[in-house]
Amino acid sequence: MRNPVPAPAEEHISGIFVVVAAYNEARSIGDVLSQLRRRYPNVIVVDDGSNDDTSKKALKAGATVLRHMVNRGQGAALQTGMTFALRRGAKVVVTFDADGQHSVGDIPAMVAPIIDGRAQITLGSRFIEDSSSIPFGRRILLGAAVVFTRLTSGMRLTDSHNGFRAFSSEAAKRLDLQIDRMAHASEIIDQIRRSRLPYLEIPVHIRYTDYSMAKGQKTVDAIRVAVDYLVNKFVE
Amino acid sequence: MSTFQYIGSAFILFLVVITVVGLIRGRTRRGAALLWLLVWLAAGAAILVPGITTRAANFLGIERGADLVFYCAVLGGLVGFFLVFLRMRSLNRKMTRLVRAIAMENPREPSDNDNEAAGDGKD
Repeated sequence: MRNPVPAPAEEHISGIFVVVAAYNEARSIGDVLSQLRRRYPNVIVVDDGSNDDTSKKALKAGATVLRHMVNRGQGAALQTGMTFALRRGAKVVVTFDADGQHSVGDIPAMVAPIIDGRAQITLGSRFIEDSSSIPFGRRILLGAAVVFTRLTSGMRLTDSHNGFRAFSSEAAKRLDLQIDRMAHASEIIDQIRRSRLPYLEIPVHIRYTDYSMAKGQKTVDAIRVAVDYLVNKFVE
Repeated sequence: MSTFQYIGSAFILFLVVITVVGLIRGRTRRGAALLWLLVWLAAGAAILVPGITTRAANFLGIERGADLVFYCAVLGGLVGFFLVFLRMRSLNRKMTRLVRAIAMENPREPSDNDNEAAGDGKD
């Protein structure tokens, strides 16, 4: 096991904004947010047009909620949250999944390189350390995504489709996600490469539950996502 | 003239009038109107001068005039499909920007919870 990274110093905490994009996550979002809010006061939830109680639960858990009136997809929701965080004076923006698969305990390790100035962007990776707990089907799918990312963007990442990321305000300002739906994961990577900002991959734990597996991408979706991304890349 | 030629040319004339009226009233841009007029004129010529498509086809190395018309229709359809696709994409992006702007104008803070959460999820 790696050494735990100490929590960010008090003076940095107020500059850390956690952005959570959520679509019909009423079941899990309350727990996720209350864990986040225990350590990080600035949590922004972008309710992407949910038709359940996502907004209500998020407000109750103490997050600031922005509501997309119409579902625009995860990429769009993240962009909304990041733009808003910057407007509120964020120094570091962390993106965190609403389904409970990310661990709040990994945030210090994600933000430390940015606060120390070692990187402008950190990308969570579930494959740097022991990945035996990752379901087999998932591993195959994510492996394919990594190869796809290598071929299309030339970035050698171990885990291209992990929603756990952190950006310095400088880096967040340069992001401009245009693909609304899931293909934004590849788009972010493209933009990181183009920005030439220093980035690091950080080992993180992913907790696979029946809930997160059901909410996550199906294998057939992957093909649609890849097509979405390629079309966007070539039509641009 | 055959019955088809009467009906066809009347229809073409109708389309030309609509296009010209659109142009005069400023509803159609000049370039677009010109393009449509060219298309209508070509269609009109094909209807009124039966041999013309065959001659044009032969000129292009295609045997039959009907084949030329068919190829043009397929190509035109594909181009149209692509243009609609681009338009949809641009509309989608505009919609996202609009949705984002509305969301950012109305942030809800936890303290608003009691007043506003009641209306949540019902819009």
